[in-house]
Amino acid sequence: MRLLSRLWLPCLILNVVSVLAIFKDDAYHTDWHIPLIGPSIAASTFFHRPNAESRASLIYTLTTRSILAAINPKDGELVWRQPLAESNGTGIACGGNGIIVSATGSAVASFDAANGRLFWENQFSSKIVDLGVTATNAVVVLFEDGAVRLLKEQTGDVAWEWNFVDSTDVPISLHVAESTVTVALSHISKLHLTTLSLATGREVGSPLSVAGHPDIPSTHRALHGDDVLSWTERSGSILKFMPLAPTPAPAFVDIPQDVIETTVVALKDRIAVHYKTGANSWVDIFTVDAGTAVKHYSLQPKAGAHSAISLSTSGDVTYLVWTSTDETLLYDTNRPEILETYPHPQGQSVNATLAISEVVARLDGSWAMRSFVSSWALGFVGDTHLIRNGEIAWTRPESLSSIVASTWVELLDPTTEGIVEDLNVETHTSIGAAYIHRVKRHLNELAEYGPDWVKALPQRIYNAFLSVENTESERTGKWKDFFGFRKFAVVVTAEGGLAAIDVGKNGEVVWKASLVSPPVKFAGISGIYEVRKGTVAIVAADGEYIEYDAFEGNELLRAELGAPALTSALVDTPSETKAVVVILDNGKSVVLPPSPDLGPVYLSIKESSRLVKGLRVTGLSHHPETTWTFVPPASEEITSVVSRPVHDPVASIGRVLGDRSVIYKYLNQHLLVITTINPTLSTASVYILDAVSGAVLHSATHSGVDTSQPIRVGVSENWVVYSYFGDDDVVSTPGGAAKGYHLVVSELYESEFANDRGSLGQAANVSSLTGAGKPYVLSQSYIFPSPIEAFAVSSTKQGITAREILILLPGTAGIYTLPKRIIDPRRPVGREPDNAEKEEGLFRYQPVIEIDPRSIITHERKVLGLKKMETTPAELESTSIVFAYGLDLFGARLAPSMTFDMLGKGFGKIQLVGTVVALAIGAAVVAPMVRRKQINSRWSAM
Amino acid sequence: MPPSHPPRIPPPPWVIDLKNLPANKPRPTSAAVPDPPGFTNSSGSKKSTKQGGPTPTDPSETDDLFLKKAWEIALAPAKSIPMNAIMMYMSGNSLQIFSIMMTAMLFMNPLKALSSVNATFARFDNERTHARLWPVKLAFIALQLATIALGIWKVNGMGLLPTTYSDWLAWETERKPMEFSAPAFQVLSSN
Repeated sequence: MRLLSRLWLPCLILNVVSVLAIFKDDAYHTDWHIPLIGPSIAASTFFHRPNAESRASLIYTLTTRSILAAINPKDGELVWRQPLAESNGTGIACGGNGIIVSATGSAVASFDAANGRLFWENQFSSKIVDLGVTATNAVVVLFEDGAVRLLKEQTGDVAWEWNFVDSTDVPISLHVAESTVTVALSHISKLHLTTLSLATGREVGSPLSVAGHPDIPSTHRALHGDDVLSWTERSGSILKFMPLAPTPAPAFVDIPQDVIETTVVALKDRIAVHYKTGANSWVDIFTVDAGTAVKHYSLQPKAGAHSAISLSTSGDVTYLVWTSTDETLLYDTNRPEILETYPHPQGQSVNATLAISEVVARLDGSWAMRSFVSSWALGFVGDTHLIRNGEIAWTRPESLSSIVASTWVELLDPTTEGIVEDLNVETHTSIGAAYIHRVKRHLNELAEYGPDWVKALPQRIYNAFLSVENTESERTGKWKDFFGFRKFAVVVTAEGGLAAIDVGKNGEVVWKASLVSPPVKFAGISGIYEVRKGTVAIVAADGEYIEYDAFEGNELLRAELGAPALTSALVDTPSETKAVVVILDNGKSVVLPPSPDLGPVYLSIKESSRLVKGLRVTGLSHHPETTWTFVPPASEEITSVVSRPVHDPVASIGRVLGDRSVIYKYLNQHLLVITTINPTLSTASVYILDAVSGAVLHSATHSGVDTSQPIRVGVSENWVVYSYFGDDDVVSTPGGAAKGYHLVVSELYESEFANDRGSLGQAANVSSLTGAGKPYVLSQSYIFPSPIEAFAVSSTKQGITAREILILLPGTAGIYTLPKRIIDPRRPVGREPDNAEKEEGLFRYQPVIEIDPRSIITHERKVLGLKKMETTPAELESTSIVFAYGLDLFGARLAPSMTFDMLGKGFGKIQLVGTVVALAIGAAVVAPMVRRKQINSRWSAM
Repeated sequence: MPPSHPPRIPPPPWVIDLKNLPANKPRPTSAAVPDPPGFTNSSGSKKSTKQGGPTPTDPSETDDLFLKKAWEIALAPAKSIPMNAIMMYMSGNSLQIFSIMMTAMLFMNPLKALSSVNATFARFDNERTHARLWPVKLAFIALQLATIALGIWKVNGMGLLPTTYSDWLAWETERKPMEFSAPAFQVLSSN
């Protein structure tokens, strides 16, 4: 051991530097990132030129995830994106001259259209209803309280403000003209149109009144410019719209009963109304003539629940682009005849929910047409596509921005999959018989595969030397690659979509399926688990148990549980299979697949913010018993409950100290960490429990805590790490809490003394119910220079590799990896480490942990909106695979102790073999010469 | 075999040398050749006295001499032990090629010596000295063991002896839990 530790020490010291980074040539190769923005908002998606000189336009869109983005229509890459204030999926974005102005919630911001740089931002007290940009880039904003404000183009400061007096008025919309702005307000059964001067903010002329009683809120979508005002009346049975003119006259159409959505699109003097029923859709075209809208023609209904229209003008002609599932139709709004039909490629149907288009007439009489389309599919809402003359040029998987849960799926090993039965025979017979069986099997295999293998050998050697391509890409589908870097993450979206993402292959979507059927809305998920090899099980919150083939995406089983699911867990059964235990709303429990032999399993459930409960479930009984309850002290609220990862192997049960003695780790499978906050006293507490007995093993309370900031926890092996924001200003503490993010690590040991296994001594078994002993806890606190969004711990196959803590940093900062060694609580405080401590790899305690940019595994990428990180071991002990989701998707490989079990790319295979060959040739040439010389020298000596 | 004779080539010089051996003349004895003038052969005189006077030696005297010689051999390692000890102490406890080689020597040499104790003392062994050689041999063995002990001390100092808990840690196993628990507070909502 000592020998090992001695040999390790130099390696460890080297590692201090090296583990901080992966090899430079691995960056951006073994990790991938899919930047996403979310589903686009129809009214805030448009083609716009980034500046007046630019000839090409970009796609600007504001999404329901409150992200304003510019997309390059050529390749679908994001030119820039900006996260805005959250506003429940609503928001407005408008384009100005070289700027993009957005409004989410009650904040207005102006961005450089070319690079997304923020010009200004202004926060108001009232919510924003509508927004317009004037010709001089000033911004007119209509607020919920009826105020209209003009914001200066340079600073965003309020230039003037106009308030209407009547509080019964409801603001509807804002229409910016050259030098005036018209405000539409709904007043009992009238619509008031007030025109204000842009220069002064004074009313111009007297307000106009139009009879009308708009529905508020409305199901109708108005996707038009400032020249038209549209609304629905009588609960959506009449659609009215009118061009803004000195003497406005609303046109109206009756909406048939079965229409579920109407959209008004207006451009120049054309107004298109799109009607959608569940089965088909049609379009009416109106022409504006001297301030009144006259119906021009009506297009024949098209079958299909999904289609979208858009208008585009080029030269004198205004085109209508009608995108349906299988084809895109191009019309001239002057004539009802189809100009051009662009069928979508086979198997690439698009259920369009919104579309914006650009049409240009070519000299040869054909048209160049491109549409940016947001699509809808069961469970997957908001994928965006660019359809260029009927071809789908690119697709962005925006629906994956709403992933709520994921589970890892192990791929199949092609070398063992065919001989599973043989291997089973070998494990279940006596050693002698198994040996004979194995020898026979190997001989058979040699006869069967040997010749082919030998034949393929030169090619393999050739490939290994000369092809630059990595061999890991050779296996596809459900077959594992040699090192096990490919794994599927099966994810569930908030809309009820189920997808398999190949994490080892740049996040490619392998298959998609839907957990819901149309009329039912997805109720949420209570758990997703890999229950068998290649099978995932999903427990839906509404009480459904669904099994899917993880490789193909086929539904295997769907079972009703009889009541909404409260919570669920994956447990091991005695027959070495796995089962899902579901606790139902009605207090019953269900085990799926039914396993009567399932012994008692202890589950812990967070019942409320004041109660965590332990349940005892068996395979036979359907009534879980409550075994313990945890109620925190008065006025404390439970914020999180965390347990050890399911796969958390421990390679060494003790820790060797410098003097070769051992302190034994307190390894409890049932470790449960509960964090609470006490807002009145500004304290945060951490309780470490045994999930079976409910015994509190350790607790710690920190005072001077800003309880408004979340407390994050990570658990693995025998340690707990958590963070909180300490602030002495909140409540003054005796010692004075350092202001900043505290990172506290607590390690649990069996005994305070070395070479002591605690109260249980050498016992081989431990029962939490008869007493698992209390741990001896070593804690240390550090200051972390950044808020922490989430913790995760690297996970390797055997747990031999040092563990690394993954820290999700907020905003676009990415994922930071912190070696566990760095925050060792045994680091000597206030003195240099002595020899024994040095030998242990400890170094002097320093309270502040510096963020080393080389340890950020997202590198220079701007990842956004990540919420959760999942880790899983690869086939190689050194490597752990990471998958992070939330908005963007990110995948990477981690090698906390470097890839010690794999040759690096820099390994000179050719050099090595070349040296050996050269030496062999040299020896062959020199040997006879030397022999002759020796004989000659013998003779000449005589 | 073809009947034609190979062309006659002169025999190699060594064949000629071998055939014409010089006449095997006996070396002139010293007695035959007179010493040069002024040369006095002191050794020769000694030799001559020895040769001349074949005084029968006392066997017990020879045995004493044998034993004395044997003791000398037996105690030789004692002289090297302090030197070894100092060297071991000076070389430190780090694992380096020299200290490892030196330590290996500390084991190799005594073990070699121990395996050939009888051979070492065979030339002093006869019927008379046999019994008296026992303590000599024992002393020899004890000193070799002392050298080995020195080696063990050194190896221990280097931390290569499995004497501590950490050396047996790999054979200790985690306690098996008697109960099974599963976390089940995973509440994931659709939003």
